[in-house]
Amino acid sequence: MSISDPGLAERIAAYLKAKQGREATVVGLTRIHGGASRETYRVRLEEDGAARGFILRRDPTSALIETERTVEFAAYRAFHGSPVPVPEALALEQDESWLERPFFMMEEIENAVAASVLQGAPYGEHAAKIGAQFFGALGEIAKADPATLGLDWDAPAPEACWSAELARWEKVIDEDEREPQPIARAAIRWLRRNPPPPAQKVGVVHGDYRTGNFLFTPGGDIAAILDWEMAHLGDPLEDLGWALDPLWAHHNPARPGGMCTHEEAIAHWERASGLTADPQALRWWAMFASLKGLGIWISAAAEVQDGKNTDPVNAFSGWYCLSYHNQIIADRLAEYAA
Amino acid sequence: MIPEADALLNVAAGKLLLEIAPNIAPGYGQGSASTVAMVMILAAQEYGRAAEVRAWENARLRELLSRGGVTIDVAPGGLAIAALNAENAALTKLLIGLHERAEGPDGDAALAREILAFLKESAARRRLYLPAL
Repeated sequence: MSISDPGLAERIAAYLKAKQGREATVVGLTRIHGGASRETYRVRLEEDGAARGFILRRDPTSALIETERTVEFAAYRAFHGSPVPVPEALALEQDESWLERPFFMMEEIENAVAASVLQGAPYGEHAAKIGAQFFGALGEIAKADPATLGLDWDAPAPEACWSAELARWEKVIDEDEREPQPIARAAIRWLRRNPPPPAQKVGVVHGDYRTGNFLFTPGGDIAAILDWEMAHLGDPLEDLGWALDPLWAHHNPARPGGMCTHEEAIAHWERASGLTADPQALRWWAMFASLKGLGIWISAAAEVQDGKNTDPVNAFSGWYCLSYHNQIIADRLAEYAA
Repeated sequence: MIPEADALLNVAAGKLLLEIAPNIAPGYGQGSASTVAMVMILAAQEYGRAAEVRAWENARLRELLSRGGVTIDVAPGGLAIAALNAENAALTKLLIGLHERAEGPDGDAALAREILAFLKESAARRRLYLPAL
């Protein structure tokens, strides 16, 4: 047991007994390091003489970006068994009386790890292979039909996808900036003056599709796409712009995600999705991706500044990632204005 | 004071990252200890340049605002980082308004480009870097 909340294991066992009729003992409970949008725990059980495990995702005391747990749970349910590998979603509990905050349980994927965005070359000899799977799976998400998947989320009109997302993130920056953000404001105005063409289709957008948010095996196979908490319906190019953002390139912008070339990434995505990554549209979504990044990092900084969520990940991203995306955006704006 | 704060932060970060974190069980604690070390490395970078960057920005902001005909009702507050930040925030707020006007149909395209050049240099000066892992 490796956790500072000793009562949590007993409360999980009590929940399993009361809600699922299971006589299980929690023999291992480890909090997993990662994003600040949910607390994630690896739970090990002893049940009927056998060892079992699952992942528990609990709402934090204060969220970096307000995300809806039902959205993430629904996304896992929708894509399980599809060409997009995801863990099986097991149970969603909204009643706060069990573990103080809402949570959901999902299958544990074993013998697979996530890369750290700080690593230089996390995929080693498997980089190209993982790149094909990573951008291919993103194409599969783009190809999927939300209605067939049972995802009845609000769908913007094709011509309104960009403006809806821009308004969403401008609002985040409006609410969370603790000092004026001249680069973010200039980017927002540029994005408004240079709108992209309407979306080719309104599809599922993962919302945080990037290196670090999937598990891969030692043999270089992607085992699960994770972290769907910002999923929504919109222009599939939104995810592609985010996945290609240089922040996620493991210090080598020539290889998006630290995997393959920009051209190869787009080819994998186009092949799987059946859609086209129009360069002008992608230029808009690339600028938007970096602005969305700023929105997240500005929120992270505000959480720390306000003392609401002092997870060191927030302090790190509120400084390092903010400085990174400010430079990316400022360079692009100067280049486009020249 | 010798050693300076940035040197101390880097030494402490190295201890945390290379000696303490590896001896913590893998998971949230180990990851958080490593992240704290990274934040200390960033803080060390910021310590050494914080006053210089802000003083440079504030001077350039005043130049750009004057060139744009903006009345600057912001008094310099001193060299403490908090004072430089307060001055910087007030001037930056004015710059955002000036930039928006300069970009407009009746604006000043040359001034808008000059502001973008300033933002580019400012972002470069404020950029934080991580050691290779």
